[in-house]
Amino acid sequence: MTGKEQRAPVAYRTDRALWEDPDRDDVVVFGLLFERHAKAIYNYCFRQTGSWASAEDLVSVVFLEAWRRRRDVGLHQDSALPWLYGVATNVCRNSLRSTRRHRAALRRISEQLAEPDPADDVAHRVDDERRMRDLRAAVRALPRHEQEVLGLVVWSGLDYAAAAAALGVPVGTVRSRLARARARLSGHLNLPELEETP
Amino acid sequence: MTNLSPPPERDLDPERKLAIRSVLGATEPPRRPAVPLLAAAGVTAVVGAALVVPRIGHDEPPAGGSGGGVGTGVSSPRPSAGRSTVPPRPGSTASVVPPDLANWTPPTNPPQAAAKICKNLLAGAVEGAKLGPGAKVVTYMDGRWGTALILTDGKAWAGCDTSGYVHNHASLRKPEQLKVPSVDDNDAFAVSKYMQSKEWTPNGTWYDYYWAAGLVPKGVGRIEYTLPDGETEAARINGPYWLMQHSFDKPWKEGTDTNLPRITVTLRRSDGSVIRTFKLEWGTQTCAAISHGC
Repeated sequence: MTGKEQRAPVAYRTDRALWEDPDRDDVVVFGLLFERHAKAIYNYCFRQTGSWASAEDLVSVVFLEAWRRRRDVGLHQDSALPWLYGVATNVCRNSLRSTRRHRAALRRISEQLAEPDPADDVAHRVDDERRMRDLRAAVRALPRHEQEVLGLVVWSGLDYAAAAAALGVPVGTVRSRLARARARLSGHLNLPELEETP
Repeated sequence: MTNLSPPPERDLDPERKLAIRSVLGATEPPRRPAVPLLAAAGVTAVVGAALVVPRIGHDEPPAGGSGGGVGTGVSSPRPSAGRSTVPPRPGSTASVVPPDLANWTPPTNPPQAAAKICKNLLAGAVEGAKLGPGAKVVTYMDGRWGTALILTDGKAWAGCDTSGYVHNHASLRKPEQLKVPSVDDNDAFAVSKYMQSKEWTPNGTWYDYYWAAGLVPKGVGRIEYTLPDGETEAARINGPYWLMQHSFDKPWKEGTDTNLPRITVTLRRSDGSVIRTFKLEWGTQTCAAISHGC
């Protein structure tokens, strides 16, 4: 025997179990978190900005920023996703400043990407962006914090607890912000019914 | 009334994902190495990308065990029998690049997607010899899970396994100078170990997986690995290069990779006679990849 405690492979373990592992290798753990959550964060950034190109940069910045702050953070849920949504919310809110901080890394990423997307994909992306722009215009009248709750709960499908963790506010605040947003948008938008979470 | 549903979700382009992962953590070394023995092997830095799913806590199967010798149709002779057939060579002295290596004609239609993934991985490598941007695939093999290949720019070479590439995963061996190793250089036959899965999800089915790559030492006509599952896998030799991939048939389960026997390597001449047989050290010779733990 090796004398080491027998543990499941990282692929089987929750984000929190990986995070709290005293022997964790940060690069390995971050690689895995990226694999697990890049898509969700990418789409969240798209919905926040209405641009796939911006979302591509911002998802990079979110993970670079999360990497930078990894030693100051403890995960309080099994999934790192609420925390990453929180990072993403701040990154998207201050996108100019965030991208400036990581411009060297962004340049290294872009240097590795040579080929543009095929034309048909570009057309779909443009359609998506037009649709998202319309949606964003429709909710622009809301205060920013209500837009953020809407983005997390309605568009990204987080439950209230996860949204509260992402935004660093009590669950009750998420509920009330969402209720106000729904009331303000009533009559203008067809809001999907949301399941109440405890 | 406007419907509030946003457009359907998209995934990041695989190439971009690789590029992002290559810069994650590239600015500073990780807090702890995944495998302490890597440091002993001189693999102290880590490539920025952790491109496969390694297993923390499973990186040091115990040394010992009886080794191979129960291969499928291939018997592993005792090491002493092999060693007695060749005069001793200076262990660490590599020969100069022979003409057959310098003049080797690379495949005309190499796997482009796999090559691209490997080149991206190489671009993020912070350790080992540097390969120029014009590095070409000089040999490759397609196995059960995907493609392994060797890239070289004529001065340095790097082995790469893209068996998880449909899931955007790959494994990069530490790039080395393009020199033919001695038959006594055990490190030249180090393997990389990780896992494969069709699903590549936490609840998917995972299999232990080994791969290796290298340059063929002078006089060697066949390279065999007897792996911990008892199977013997012959490396695919193509001109001056060789590649080996091996996947366990039985899925990984808790405990299946403890008390494993050491991996046995058998080097044979073209006529099948044994040049030498030796066992790889767990850790130092089973963690050849620099892009992930093992």
